[in-house]
Amino acid sequence: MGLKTLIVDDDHIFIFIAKKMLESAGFTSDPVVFGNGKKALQYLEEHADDADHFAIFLDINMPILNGWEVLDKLSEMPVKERISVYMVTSSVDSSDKKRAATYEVMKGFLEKPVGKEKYASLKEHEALREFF
Amino acid sequence: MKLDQIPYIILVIEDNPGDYVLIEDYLLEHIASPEILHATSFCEARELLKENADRIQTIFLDLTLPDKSGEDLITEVVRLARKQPVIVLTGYTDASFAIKSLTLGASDYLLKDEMNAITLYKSLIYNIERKRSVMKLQESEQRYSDLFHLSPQPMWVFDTESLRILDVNQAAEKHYGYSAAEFYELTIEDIRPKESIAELHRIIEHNRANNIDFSKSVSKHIKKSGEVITVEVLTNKIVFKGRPARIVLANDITEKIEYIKAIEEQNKKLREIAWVQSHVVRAPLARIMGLVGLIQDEVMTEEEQNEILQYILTSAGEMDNIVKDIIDKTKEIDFEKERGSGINSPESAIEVK
Repeated sequence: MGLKTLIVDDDHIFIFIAKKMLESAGFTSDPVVFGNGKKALQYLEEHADDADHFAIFLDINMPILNGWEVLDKLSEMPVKERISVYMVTSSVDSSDKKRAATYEVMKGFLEKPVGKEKYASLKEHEALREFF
Repeated sequence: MKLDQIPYIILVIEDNPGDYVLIEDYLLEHIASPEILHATSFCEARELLKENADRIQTIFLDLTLPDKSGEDLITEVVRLARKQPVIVLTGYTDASFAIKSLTLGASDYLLKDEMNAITLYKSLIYNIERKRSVMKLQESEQRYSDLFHLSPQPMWVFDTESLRILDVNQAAEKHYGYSAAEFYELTIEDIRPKESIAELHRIIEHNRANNIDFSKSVSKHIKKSGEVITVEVLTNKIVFKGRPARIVLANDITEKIEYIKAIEEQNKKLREIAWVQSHVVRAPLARIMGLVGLIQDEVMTEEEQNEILQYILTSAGEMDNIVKDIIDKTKEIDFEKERGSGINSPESAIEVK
């Protein structure tokens, strides 16, 4: 079972880079990729039992459901206990940080571009350590 | 007795030679060296007054002259003698008229039959002094009146009970479009749009109940033309001709407010640009940085490398479009400034009309 990694971003170039970097960092070689938040939530509902834990790299600015709306919905799902969300954005506002602190599932902010070292360091993160 | 050493310059208008000699004698009893000018008719007096308008300090005026007499005479002499007190000399038969002469502008009167050196001298000294203080008072009143009437800011005085406008300055006439005469037919309700009359009563009642002297508010006013303006109104308690009143200074801030609105609008656009810069511009830039990182760190097939270069090119194109968009938005701001759209520069907004 172990850890399942999700990338939720409407930017396919970012996804291309992220996949390469995650693999190279030894984080995962088979992330599940979604172009919008709605599809990601659907997947989580249907596959809640596929893994012990879910690491989600979530973009803030997306069509259909943006990062915040995804967080709102996630917080109401039973699977939230087994989720670590990392917000990924091209620029971090202090107001974004304040807002993020109100969500329990939020574990960190990553500013694009996210390098190999950053992904590697997440393996040591408190929430994920046990899966590596 | 010691004689008064001041060289008084006195005009005596008297056609009766006996009376004139008497007056001259009386004056010399108390004054060492007066300069006495003598006129025996109104015409002569007029000439002497013209020539010596600034020198003469006082005028003794007999009420019956060959060419003019009575009310007419007093009125004319008082009109000519702006700076001098006019002391009327009269016989017993005209005693009641002598009193009336005071209302015509004479400073004092003396009954010839009761006159003596000391009463003449006292009257002279007293009236010169009195005229001097009256003129000072008039000057000061004029100064204050000018401050009100010539103020570049619209000002008026209104009765706090009837709300009628009691006095108004030129700037108010010009700014509101009513003549002074028209203003006096109005109450301050008439220079308010209907919807702000209730607020007016609230302010007046508040000022009255709390005995407030200075008060400041921002209100809507309406000009004669129907144009509604926003004014900052400063008022203070005043008693005007015995009536409880308030003096008002109105500062039209309509343009200033429009100007501030325009600035806020511009600020909003600038904030949008700043947001775009931090969020949108950075997105393709971050992508390019990530792609370059891939090329540096990873071993890749030639096909993959070509793909990455294509991605870099796409991202650069995207960034180019965003920068163009920012330039367009900035132009929009300039365009509005040029067009004016009822917005004036800060200089004209505070220009004194």
